[in-house]
Formats: sequence, structure tokens, C-alpha cells
Amino acid sequence: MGIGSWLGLWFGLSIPAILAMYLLKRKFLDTKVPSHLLWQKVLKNLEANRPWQKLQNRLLLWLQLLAAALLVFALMKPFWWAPGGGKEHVVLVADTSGSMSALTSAAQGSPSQERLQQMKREMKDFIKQKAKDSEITLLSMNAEPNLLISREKDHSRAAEAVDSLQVYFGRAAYDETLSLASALTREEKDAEVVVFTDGLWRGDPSSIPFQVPVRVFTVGEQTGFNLSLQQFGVKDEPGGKTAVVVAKNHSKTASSTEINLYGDGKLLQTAYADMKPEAAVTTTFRDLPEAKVYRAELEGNDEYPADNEAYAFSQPNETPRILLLTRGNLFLEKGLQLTGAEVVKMALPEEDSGAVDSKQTSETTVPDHPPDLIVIDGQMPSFAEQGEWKKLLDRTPVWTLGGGGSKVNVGGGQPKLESHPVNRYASYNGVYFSSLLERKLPDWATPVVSIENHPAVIAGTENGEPRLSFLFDLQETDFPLSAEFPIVVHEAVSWLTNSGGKSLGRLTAGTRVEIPIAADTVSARWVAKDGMAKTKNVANIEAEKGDKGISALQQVPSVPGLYAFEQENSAGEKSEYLAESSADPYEAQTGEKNGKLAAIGQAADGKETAANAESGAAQDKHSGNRSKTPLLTLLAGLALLVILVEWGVYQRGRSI
Amino acid sequence: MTSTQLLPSDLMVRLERLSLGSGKRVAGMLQGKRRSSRLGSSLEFADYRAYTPGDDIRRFDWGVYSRTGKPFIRQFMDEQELMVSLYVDCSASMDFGGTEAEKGNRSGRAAENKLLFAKRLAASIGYVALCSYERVGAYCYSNRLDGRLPILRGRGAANRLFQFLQDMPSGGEGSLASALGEPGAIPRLSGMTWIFSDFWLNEGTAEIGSILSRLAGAGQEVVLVQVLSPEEIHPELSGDLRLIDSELNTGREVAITGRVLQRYREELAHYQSELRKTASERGISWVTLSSDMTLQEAVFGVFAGTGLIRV
Repeated sequence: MGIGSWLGLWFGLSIPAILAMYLLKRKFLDTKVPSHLLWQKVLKNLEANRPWQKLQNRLLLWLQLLAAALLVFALMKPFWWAPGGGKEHVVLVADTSGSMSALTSAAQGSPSQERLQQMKREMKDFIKQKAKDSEITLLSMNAEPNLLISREKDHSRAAEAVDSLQVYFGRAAYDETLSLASALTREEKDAEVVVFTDGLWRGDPSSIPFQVPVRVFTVGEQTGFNLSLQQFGVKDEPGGKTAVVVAKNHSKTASSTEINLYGDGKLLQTAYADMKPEAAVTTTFRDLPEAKVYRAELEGNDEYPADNEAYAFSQPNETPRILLLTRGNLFLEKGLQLTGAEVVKMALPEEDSGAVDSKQTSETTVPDHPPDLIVIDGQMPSFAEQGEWKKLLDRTPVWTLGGGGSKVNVGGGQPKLESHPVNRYASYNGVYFSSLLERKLPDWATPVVSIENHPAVIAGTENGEPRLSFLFDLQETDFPLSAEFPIVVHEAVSWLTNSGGKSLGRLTAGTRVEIPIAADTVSARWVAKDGMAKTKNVANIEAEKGDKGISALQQVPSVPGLYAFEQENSAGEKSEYLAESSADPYEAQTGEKNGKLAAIGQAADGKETAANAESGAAQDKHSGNRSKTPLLTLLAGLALLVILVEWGVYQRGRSI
Repeated sequence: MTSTQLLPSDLMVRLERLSLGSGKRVAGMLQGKRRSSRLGSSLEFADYRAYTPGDDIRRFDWGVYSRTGKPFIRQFMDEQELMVSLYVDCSASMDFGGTEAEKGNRSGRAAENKLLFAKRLAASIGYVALCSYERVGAYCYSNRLDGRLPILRGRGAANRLFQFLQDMPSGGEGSLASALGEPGAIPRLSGMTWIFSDFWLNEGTAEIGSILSRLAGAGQEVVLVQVLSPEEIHPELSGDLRLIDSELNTGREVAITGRVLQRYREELAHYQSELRKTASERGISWVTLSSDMTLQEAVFGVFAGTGLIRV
């Protein structure tokens, strides 16, 4: 039992005031009596008018005094020292940074679980036991401090909020969250900040001034076994691709691991690495086959799985490289050069005897750098139909123009155009076609331009690579002379070279990245493709939208893994950018508790003790796990009860 | 207003048989029922005496004279009436007790208005006296004589008495000494004087004693009838009260407690015993009645019991 404010005792003056009012009360009920004769004598003997005699046997007075005493007592803010009731306001700061997803070691016999789960359990225990009468405010940390609930009295909702906590793998706002907690408790007297963390804390928490006590609970012990993939890159080198993986052992014990390298999901190579304590190991993989996405993975169970994978993308050249196989066509060559592409011309000899062909086949080697597009003008050279060349053609976009075969005379008929990117700016107005090649259409082909039901241009995709064929020889038409020709060539090249996925590279989770959004995009979303995001079944995340449709700045999903940013236009066509969301590398560290974090708890406690010593209240011995339970409600209820009784007495009649 | 309202008729029949128990024989002008102490002209033979010239020859006993030759006069007892004076206190303090509805409700046991009860008592005594051929005078007083009724005689005058009593209003401060100090207030003839009052008198008992002495000196056999309402005998008051005197209109603030009421009862007993003592010192009868008594209880019980009325 204690008193919150002795100042309230001043209101105790109301009790003598009530007594004085009763004494000075001059309200007598007039009663007529025949004569005073006897009363005079009675009063003369008794002196019944002595003031204090009025106070006798007055139920109403005693009730009023009781009510006043209760109210005065209530104004003095009395309280019980209840065990573990908690402060009035408890601000819980939950460290939801990436390191909280680390698994606690299974040494205790229990199945290993995320630190986050353990923290949630501890937080709920704390609310249940040490803050059972408190108002709960819950802060978690994302890229910014995140206020989940504020001054919540309903503890079931507080528990729900705790359950809803999720790990944020991006760069967490540590000190900002702590600063918000400090600001939330600035003007409060009976409040407390409780920080739940694994001790890995970036920044300087001691720089944040607190006016209330701070407690720091450390979740999970820091045995600290973590291997992380720090860097992973793939570069083109003569003779194939070379990947470089930098892995680091963050723990203080030596370890070894296998590094697996995958290309488009297929295991390509495996390397064995000895990991010295707190040292990085660089592993190089050479002669990697072509793949769109490479994935490096650290084998083995370390505590923090978020940094065990990394992705690299084979970077498409900024300027497409075009291999032009031609027997000489200036218009085509200039047209291709106008697209800004790097054109490598490979002059084919005039069609000669088969001996020459066989000689060439043996001599002509495939280029070192695979081109982004192969343009074959005229007859397909014989060497290209077999061996390495065929493989190259199979996995490269190919544009053929003309070629041998029987012809059909169309006699200058008007071309009919289908809707296709190649035709975007083309009209073929006033273009004369004398004849077209009559060829059996391959499976992939759909006519894009046709003249009198004979296909003139066919396009399609074979083995995932775009194919385009002009079924006419450029020499047989005046199309190269028309103004549209360079435009059609440009559109054809951009269609043929752009269809492949582009990558946005490696991005830290939660950061904002600028993504080129096509003008006709109607919807866009992040789709989890691989890695942790895939195993965690991260749902599609719709792209953020601004006033003018989908905004160009998008936030990278917070769960690490491979994502595709899919854009869909009104025609239902999809294009995607691949991106890797990677965890904040800071979180990979283990075993390094931020000492300043513990210091803020002690400093705030010390301040409190000093304040207590100043006020002279003997609360120090209680300050441990006891808390004040205000009796205000109880007293108010009692006073109300007394007033009700008083009203009953008043209703019944006069006093006594 | 008829007499039946003041006195019920069945009671009047019973009252007719009664007579006042006065020990006094009073000389009067007319023949009455009451035997005078002197010889007179009634039919009751008393004695013989020798004739002296001047005697009424109608009383000369011719029979004795013829037998003895000596002149004798027959003497008879003189029958004389009694002078009965009724004083009713009509001061404001008497007008207490009973509600308006109860004033006409004789059968009810609720306490009657004190004044009405006193008037009924006076009417009963007056009627008894008139039926006994007494001379009856009635007075109403407060601090002076408010009204007086000329002397009545005979039953036929009963209605005039009732009417007089009934018509007398209440009001004013009561003072027996100043009222009876007025000239002509005290009856000239000796007789019986009934005073009906609550005796809430501001004058002390000494002054009351002196006026009683004057009455006794005037040859009056005085009967004091104190009429009190039950509220005065056992007041049931509580709380903070300003007690207002009905005559003086002054207030007295009292916080009533059980102790105060206890003291009041003690004071009442003390005051009554003091008045009784003052009366008994002068050979004066003292009767206390509560207004919640019935008239019959008062007349046949209390008055007859004390011998003031003979059955």
C-alpha cells in the first residue's frame, strides 16, 4: 500500500468544511407548539443548542463524511504494491531484423525453431506475467519503425499482434525504432520500454535518451554458426562463363562446406571449401555452360539460412551482337547497323560446288562470342545445318531472308498485315513483290504478312528462341528501297533480341529499385521464382501503383530469393525482369552482441533510482518485480455506493 | 349550530341526573334545588320558634296555637341555587390538536382539539348546573375577558350557553391573572368557579396563586381543569426544529434528541406538580385531562371520581 500523491491530502480540508456546514446549518423545520413554556425550561437546563450536539445521531452527516473521506483518499492516488502487475504503459520493441530468422540450436532437445518464434513466445509470456495490467504498445522494425498496436488494453489483441510479427530481411531500422519508443514514452511517468532482440543491433542505441526504464531481453543464445555467401558473380570469359563465389564463415570455429552451382535449376558444378574461422573463401567455377540464371548454394545446416544462396544473371549485352551471314546486301547491312547493333558480317561465297562446301564446313568455326541474333540472308549455308553451328542456331534468335526453293508469282499483290511487333510501324504501301518462296511452313511459324494468301513473312518461337523469316529475296522486291525498310529491320531486330528475360540484379530486400515499366502495362507483380521465397511460398506481391498507373519505383520483396517482376499488357502478353532479393549482409554476423544495447537498460535503471532517491520515496525495494495497482476505481465505486446509501437515507426522510 | 353538536344527546340525558358536588350553600334570589344553610321557604320542615311580631303570618302554625295557645312559627329549610361560573381559556395555545375533520367526529378516538374539548367540558358542567336549577355564568378569556354570558337559569337556557361557547373564537395570549384582574370578572356571589385551561401561562405560579387566592376570597369554590393534548404530554418530535410559540410567534431552535424529550417530560411533571401544589394550598381542586379522552370518561370518570359531580 502506498500513496501516489500526498498533495491530495489538502482535499482533506473538505471534511472540516462539511462539519462546519453542518454546525452552521440554520435550517430548522418550523414546528408550531402551543407554548414554549416548558421548552424554555428544558433548553435552559439542557443547553441543547450547543453546536456539537447537532452532530449526534446524524446518519446523513456520517455518510457524507465517509464519502468525502473516500474521495480525498482517492485523490491521494493510493495504490497497492501488486506483484508483477507491470507498468501502466509498456512499449515492446520487437527486433524483427533478418537475424531473427536464424534457427536456435537444437541442443536443448527441442526441435530447432526460428528465433522469431522463441521471441514471440517470450513476448507473450512477458505480457501475460509482467505486464498483465499494462497498456501494450508494440513496435517492430522494417525499413522504418512499424507501430503495430498502440496502448492496447486488450491483451488478446496484443498477442495477435505479436503473432503477426514477421522477419524483415532488409536493412532494418534499429535505432529509429528505439527512438520512436523513446518518443512514445517521453512524457510518461509509469512506463517502460522492453526490447526483445537477439543482441545483434546495428547503430548506437546509447545515443537515444530515455526517460523511462528500459529492459533488454536477449532471445536465443549466440552459439553463432553461420556461413554466408557474400558475393557471387558470373562473367563472360573466352571459353565460357566463369563464376566467382565468395563465402564467409562468421563463426569462431572452422568448418567446411560444399558450394553447389546451379544453372537454370540444373546442378552444374560442386566445389568443396574449407572455411577458416571468420575468414572468407573465394571459389572460382570455370567453363560454365550458358544459363539465364545461376544459383550458388552453400551446402549444410547453418543457423541463418537466408544468406546461403545467391543468384547471378548472365548479362545480355547492352548492344545486341548480330551475326550476318550474307552474300552481300548493302541495304540489309546498313539497316542492321542503323539499329545500333554490333554487326559482324560473315560473307558467304557464291553457291559453288559441294567440294567447296565440305571444305568450308570443316573450316568455318562457330564464333567465340555467341551472337544475340543470327541473320541469314539467302540460302542457308550448308555448314550451318550441322555440328556446332546447328547448336548455335538452335539457341540463338534467327532471322532468315529469302533462300532457295520454288517460287510463286504474286504479281505485285497488296500485302496483308497481321498484328505483330515487327509490323508495328510497317504498312508495305506501294511495295512491289513479284514472287514469294513457296515453302512448307514450319511448326513454329505464323504468317505475319501475306500476299494473296501466300505467307510473305512468318514469325514464331522455336525452343524458346524467336524466329523470323522473310519468304522473299530482297533482290526480288523494291522493299529495301522503301522508307519503311530500316524501320522494319529495327523492329525485327528489337523483337528478336528483346524477348529474353532481363535481370535487375542483386538487390537488398526492402530497398526501392527503379524498374522500366512498359507503357502498355496494365498489371505487374513480384512472383517468387526460387530460393527462400519459393520455399516459404511467398504469395505474389502486386506492384505498387501511383497516380499514373504502376509506379516505376518498386520495393523489393522482403523475403530473400529469386523473384520475377512480371508485367502484363492489355493483350495478355507478359514480360519479366528477374531480380534477386538478398538479405541484409549485416544480419549474417553472429556472436557479436551490441554492448551498448545492454548499457541503455542499465543507464535508464540508474536514472530511475536516482529519481527515486530524490523524491525520497522508499520505493527502491519494490522496484524489482512489483508494480502499483491503483485503487482509484475501487474507491470511486465505494464513494458512489456511499452516495447511493446517502440518497436512500435522504429519500427516507430527515436525519436519523 | 345546535346544542347536539357540542354535547351528544344521549350524554345530555345522563347529565340531567347529575348535580354539582359543591359543599357550599349559596344564598340566592330564587328557590333552588340546593339546600341552603339558612332557613328559608322550602317545603322541608326544620324547626319551630316563637312568633315575634313581623314574622310572615303565612308560616304561623295555627294548629299548635289552637292546642297550646302559644304562637309558633314553623321554620323551613331554605333551598337556594348555586352560582356556577365557567371560565374557558380561549387563547391561541388552546387551539391545538385534532384536525378539521376530526372536530365533528366524536366517536373517533383521535385526540380532539383542546379548545373544543374544553368547551364541551364546560358545556357539560353548565348543563348539569342548569338542570339542577343553578345559576350559570360563562366567560371566555385570553389575556382579558373576551366574552361573558349573562347569568342563566333553568334548562331552557342551555342552548344559549352552548351557543355562546361554540361561538367563541380562539386567539390571543393567555393570561389568567390579567383576565381575572379585570373589574367584574370575578363573580360577586359566592359559588363554584370552573376554569378550563392548559395553564400555559407565562406568569409564574406565585401570580397564579394570588389570583386563586382572590377567587377563594370571593367565596368561590374553584376547580382547575387542565386540558392537555397528547402531543403535549408525549411529544413525538425529531430532528432540527424551530419550535414556534403559537401565542407569541417566537421561535426556539432545538435539535431534538431522546434526551431532550426525556427532559421535557420531567419538566411537564414538575410544572404540573407545582400547579397542583399551588392549588391544594388554597383548597382548590385540580384535575388534568388529556384531550384524547372521551367526554364520558372525563365527566363520569374523572369529575365524578373526584367528587366534583355527584351522581
